[in-house]
Amino acid sequence: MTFRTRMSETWKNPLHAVWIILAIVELVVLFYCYHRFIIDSYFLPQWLSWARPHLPAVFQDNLQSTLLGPHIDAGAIRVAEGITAFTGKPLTGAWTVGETLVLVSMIFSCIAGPSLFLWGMKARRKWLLEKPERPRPFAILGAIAIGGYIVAYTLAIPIMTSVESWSVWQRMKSDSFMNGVRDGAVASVSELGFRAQLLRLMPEAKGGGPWAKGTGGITINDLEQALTPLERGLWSQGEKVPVKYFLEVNSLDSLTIWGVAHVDGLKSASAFTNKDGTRGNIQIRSGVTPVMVNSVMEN
Amino acid sequence: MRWIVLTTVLVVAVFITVYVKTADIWMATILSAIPAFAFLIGVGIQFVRMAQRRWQKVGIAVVASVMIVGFAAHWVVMWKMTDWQVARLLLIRRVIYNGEVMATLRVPALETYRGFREAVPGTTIGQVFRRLYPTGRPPIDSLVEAETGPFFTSISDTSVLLIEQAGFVGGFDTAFVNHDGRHGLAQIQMRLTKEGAFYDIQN
Repeated sequence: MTFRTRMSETWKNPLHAVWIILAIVELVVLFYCYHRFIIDSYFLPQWLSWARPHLPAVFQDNLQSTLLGPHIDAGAIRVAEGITAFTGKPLTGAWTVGETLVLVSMIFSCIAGPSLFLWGMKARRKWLLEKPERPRPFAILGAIAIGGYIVAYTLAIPIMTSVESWSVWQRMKSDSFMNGVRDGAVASVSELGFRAQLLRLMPEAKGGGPWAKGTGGITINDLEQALTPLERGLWSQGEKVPVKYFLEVNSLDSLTIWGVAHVDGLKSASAFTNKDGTRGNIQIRSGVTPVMVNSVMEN
Repeated sequence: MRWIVLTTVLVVAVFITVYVKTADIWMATILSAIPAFAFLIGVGIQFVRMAQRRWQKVGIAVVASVMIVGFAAHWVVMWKMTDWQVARLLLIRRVIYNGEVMATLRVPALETYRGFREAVPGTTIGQVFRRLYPTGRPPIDSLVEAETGPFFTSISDTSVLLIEQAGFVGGFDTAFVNHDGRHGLAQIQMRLTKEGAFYDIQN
């Protein structure tokens, strides 16, 4: 009975009901935040495919703009600039719809939304004190609901996602580090293969000739000496992880070069033993003949 | 109301001025965010003042502070992360380009040394190269050619210089003057002598 009475009083006063509306809105926002993948991968493309043909041309390519996250839109523009530079197209620096949306987004999220919410809350208090003399406060209700939504969307979500974004960034750094080391190892082993091919073509007086085993034969040191520090670092995307090289002569026309970098490879420590006796590290093997260098990623 | 209008005008003016002058989206966004964040703090203070009890004031102050700091933190993470992504993207582009060019230059180098080895005694490495590539330009893979700029060759009796300059890929030093007079593009030189082949990664 008490509950029914209270609910009845709540619905009679729209400014109490606004909290129920806000709670529903916030739940939707939270759902969006935590199930963003589902929405982004299904509902958002559905909505975009419906909305795009009905919009002016300039907005058709900017529908993904969040409008309530200026820093997210600015980040998207910066990455798009990077991709443009990657493909060799010139960066014009011209003002586009993207920049306008960042600006509008900033005004919405930092100025209009919080102001609307503040106005709604102040007006609500005033209305509660003077309600017998005032009409039903739908403007106040709307201001609190919309302003509250914008504040929740722009300010509350980043608190939850900033930690997630940080960890995503750290994972990207870690993956990029491993890829850089692996690419560097592949490229430097291939380069050593080229050096071996070259040495085979050089006169014997210059240390060249067929790839012989044992004393006086080709060694990994002969090849490594040809690599400058700049060359070694050139392919590794700046990751300064030294690569250890090993060489075995199979015949006068065939040899194998290995490169081992002490960074976790694809297989675990229990599943892979490296050429230098360590376990689970990156390892590249290159089969070299006078006319071919064939590199394989072993781990 | 006047604070809303004033802050909006300030944000718009700073954003447009900085972007038009620098074409840097992050610089424009961050500098225009300074008045916007000041306004947000002001709104937070207004909410605190609205509360009547002490515990309500403290609660609102804590929630508002956490929200503004969290928003700013997310902002900084996005800024640093996207800048890092772009720098990484351009670095990877340079690595790909250097790898492609070095692999491309290996072919004429090996062909030249093969010819040099089989040539009659007294033949110079320059003569071998000219015989193999009468135009002075070895064939380049079409995929690489799409990314490369001008290719230069300098042939003498004692050495052959092959200079491959990028069409758009940046090098290490933006002030580096390239072979064709442009600035900051990647450039790799390979020198073939009878002592061997030597790379010189110039930029």
